[in-house]
Amino acid sequence: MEGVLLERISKSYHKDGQVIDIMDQVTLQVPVGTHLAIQGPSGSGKTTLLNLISGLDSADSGNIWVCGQNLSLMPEYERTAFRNKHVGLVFQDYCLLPGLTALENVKLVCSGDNQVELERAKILLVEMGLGSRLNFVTSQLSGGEQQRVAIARALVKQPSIILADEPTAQLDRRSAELIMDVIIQMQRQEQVTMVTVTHDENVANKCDHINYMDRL
Amino acid sequence: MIQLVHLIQARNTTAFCTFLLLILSVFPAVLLDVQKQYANAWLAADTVVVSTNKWTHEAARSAKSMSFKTATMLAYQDQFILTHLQLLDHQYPVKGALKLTYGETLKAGQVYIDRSLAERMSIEIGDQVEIGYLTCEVVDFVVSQDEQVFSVEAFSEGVYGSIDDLERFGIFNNASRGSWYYYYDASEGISIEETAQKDGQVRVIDSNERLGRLGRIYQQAQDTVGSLQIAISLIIGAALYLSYSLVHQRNAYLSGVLTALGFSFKKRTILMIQPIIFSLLQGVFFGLVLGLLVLNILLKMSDVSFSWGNQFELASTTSLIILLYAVALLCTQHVSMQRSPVLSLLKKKCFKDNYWVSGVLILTVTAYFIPGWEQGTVWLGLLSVTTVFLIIYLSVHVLYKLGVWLLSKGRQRGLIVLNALRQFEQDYKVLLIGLILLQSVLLFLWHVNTQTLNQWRSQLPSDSPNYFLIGMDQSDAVDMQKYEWFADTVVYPVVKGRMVAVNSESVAEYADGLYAGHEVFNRQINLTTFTQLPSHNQLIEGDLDNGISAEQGIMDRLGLKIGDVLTFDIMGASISYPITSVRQVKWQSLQASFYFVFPSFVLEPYPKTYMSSLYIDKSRQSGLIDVLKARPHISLIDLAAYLVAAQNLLHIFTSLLLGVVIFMGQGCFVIAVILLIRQVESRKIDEQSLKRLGVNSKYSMLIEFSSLLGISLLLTIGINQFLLLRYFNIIFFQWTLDLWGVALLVGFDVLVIAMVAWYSNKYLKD
Repeated sequence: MEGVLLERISKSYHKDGQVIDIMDQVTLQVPVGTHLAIQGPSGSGKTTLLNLISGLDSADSGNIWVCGQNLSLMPEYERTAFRNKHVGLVFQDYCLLPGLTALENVKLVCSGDNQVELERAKILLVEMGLGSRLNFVTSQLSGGEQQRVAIARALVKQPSIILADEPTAQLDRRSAELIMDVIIQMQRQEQVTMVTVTHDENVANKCDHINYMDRL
Repeated sequence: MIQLVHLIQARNTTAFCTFLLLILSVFPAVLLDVQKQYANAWLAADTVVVSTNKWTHEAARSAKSMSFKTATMLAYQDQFILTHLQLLDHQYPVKGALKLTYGETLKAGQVYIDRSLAERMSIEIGDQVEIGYLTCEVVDFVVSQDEQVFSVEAFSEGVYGSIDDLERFGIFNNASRGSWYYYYDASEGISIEETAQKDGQVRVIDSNERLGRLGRIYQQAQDTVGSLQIAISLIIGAALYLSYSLVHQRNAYLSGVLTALGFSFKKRTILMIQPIIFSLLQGVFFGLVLGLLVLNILLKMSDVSFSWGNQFELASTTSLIILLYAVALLCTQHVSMQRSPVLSLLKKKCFKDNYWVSGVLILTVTAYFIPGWEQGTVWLGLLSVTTVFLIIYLSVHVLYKLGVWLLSKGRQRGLIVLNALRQFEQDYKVLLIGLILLQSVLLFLWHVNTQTLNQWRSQLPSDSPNYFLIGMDQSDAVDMQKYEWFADTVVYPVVKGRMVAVNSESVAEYADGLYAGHEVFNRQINLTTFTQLPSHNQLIEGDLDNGISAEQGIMDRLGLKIGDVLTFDIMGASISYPITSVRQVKWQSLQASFYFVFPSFVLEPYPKTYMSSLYIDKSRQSGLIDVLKARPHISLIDLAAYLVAAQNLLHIFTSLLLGVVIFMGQGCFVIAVILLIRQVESRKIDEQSLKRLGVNSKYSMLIEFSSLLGISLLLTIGINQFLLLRYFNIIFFQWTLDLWGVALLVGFDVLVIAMVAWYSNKYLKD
């Protein structure tokens, strides 16, 4: 099974001796090349869901299939390698390295001597409107610019699956639309599977499907 | 709680820095003490005047004491050894400079003998020894004589006779090499010095002149300790700065919250500064207690006295320095916090405090309290240290930027390292400077202790001269030609002269006084004449015949050139000749060598002695002894003994320096630890980001520290070579890069990297 398939996933956290259930027997399928938007109130487990799909976190029970591989059976180091190879992540808090420039942050996830990827890094940043900011270190960029760098970094390796957590939260409406158009165009062109968590109705409406999550 | 943790850490760093500074300040005190005892102070008197001939001036009669020194051979049973002989009058020693085992008074026909020499030759009290033509009874052993330990005579152990026996020894004639010393109390010092300066026949002893080349090494060692002390003080400043900046970062958020809640500036300041001041005072207290405890244990072990008054003074100065450092830092940090907008502070962001302001403040405190040099050269010394720092900083900066540039061309792992190098650039530069200074001194000490004279000796041909014969008169030089071992020896006439002017300008005013302190300008030097150019001299420019032939090195060091007219005072006569040729001398050949060579007709009218250097193998040494027995006025210098003594002297200096360096290493270690602690949070955030991206950051910290250590190693080797040239070109060693020393440093670096690996594994991967 390519794309994403979550089979009866349960996830809970332990805090101060109490068990907090986040998901209970959740099943979800995202076919290859489709773009799913996840919406729901805060605390409903949207970010946890992305963490599970990306292999950042592991489920208490159930199977997580991504790109035909069962992440639930993988040890952490394998999940890390898998993420590097197949998954493009856009985080709410960007996760850029503060000592690197915009271009270097994007280059960071490129593998070895792949000149195509390196060229692509530049092109993506230019498309994101950061052509004049390529050599600015992270601290010299605004929140919106940092978000765009994070998106470029997620796209540069042409991953099989893109997971985005509030990708336009820091952008104004016009920039958000522009960026989403770039992302969606790329996702459709290359038939990438994509899951986007967003509160923004406009972003959600651009996706192929919308799923709502609620608190347990 | 976090605030508390950082305060505890700041307190501990303060305690350690206080401890370090206190212990460190003892070294210059010890060095100064050594200098006072052995070289500079001449405890035998406050003013000492020396003359190669008996001083006939009226001032000679007002001397508190008088002595005559020369080198001679001592015979006891079948043993024959070169010693220095000092003839003392009844008033000697003026200030207890001579320490005896039994305190016997010296009478005519009696001698004291150095205890170590007596032990080596198995001489007992009451035994008879022969010196020149006189047989003397040994009446006491000399434990130490402060005034001579660092003089050339110290390299051959000594014997002390009565000045009443002067004529009876038969060890000198008109051509003999010996010196008359006149000792004066402080009350007469200034007038005597003026008289001596006007007289021209005598001169007031200058310690540097007395110590000669070794004195210069000693002076440089002293300067080095001074420089290191300043360097370590700056390292201590950096450690305090880094430690308190951690507290400062925590305080920034607290300040933001308090401001948001409407607390006044005064209340905020009091709330934040109070606990810091408390931990600072605690730190200073703990540091002082620990420092004084360790100091007294060390003093007990080394049998060195250091009064409670001195210890109190040391403790007061140390705490004052640390407090001034800390107050300077806290003020600049507090100002930067007050300047930051509240919203930034609430996001735990604060304007960076000004490194340079803190740096200048620390430098000023250091310069004021820790002058490691002689009075009057403090500012010059500080300027030198600052210049050295700037040069090292610039070199570090260039190499650092080069490293960053190379990494920016790299791929994933390179970029991870680049991220850290960019983020912690200033911190790392501070660390690198400390590390480079530390490694340079370590490598330098390794070189000096393991190579120096030994290496030089191993480079010499097997038939290099092993003896110098000094003080021969003309008849000796002729008569000795009959000995086979002397027949081919080149004998040089020697006339003593003092350079008094260059191009009619007195040496004190020449080149605006730039070279006034040079030893050649402040002592009598040996002048000679050549019938033909010796093999270890090479004429590189000009003509030998009609003027002075100068040695190339001394010309460079004194800024002289062909055509300059030099004026010498020889036996009261003033003679002036231009420099007409330049010679390159192979000093390392151990042959007799001279700075200035005159045409023979110039030196003809003056009384002269003769000097030669020669190689005599063991089987022929008995012939030499017979000659010296028959001619006791000839001095023989055993170069092997001289070199062993010089090596021992170097060992004393390097041991002292090593002590300082060990503490310096501790300072660097503290800085490194604080830096890593400072970096933990941002490293953890970066680590988290990399993990989320699936990027493998394994070994990146090792690569990061390997790059830093690589930079430090490169600069260390460069600085080390410079130091060796700077310090040892005066005794003309041929230096090569010591690979063992470098291997030692690489080992040290590997150890550091292993520690970093352990640290990153333990704290960052959690």
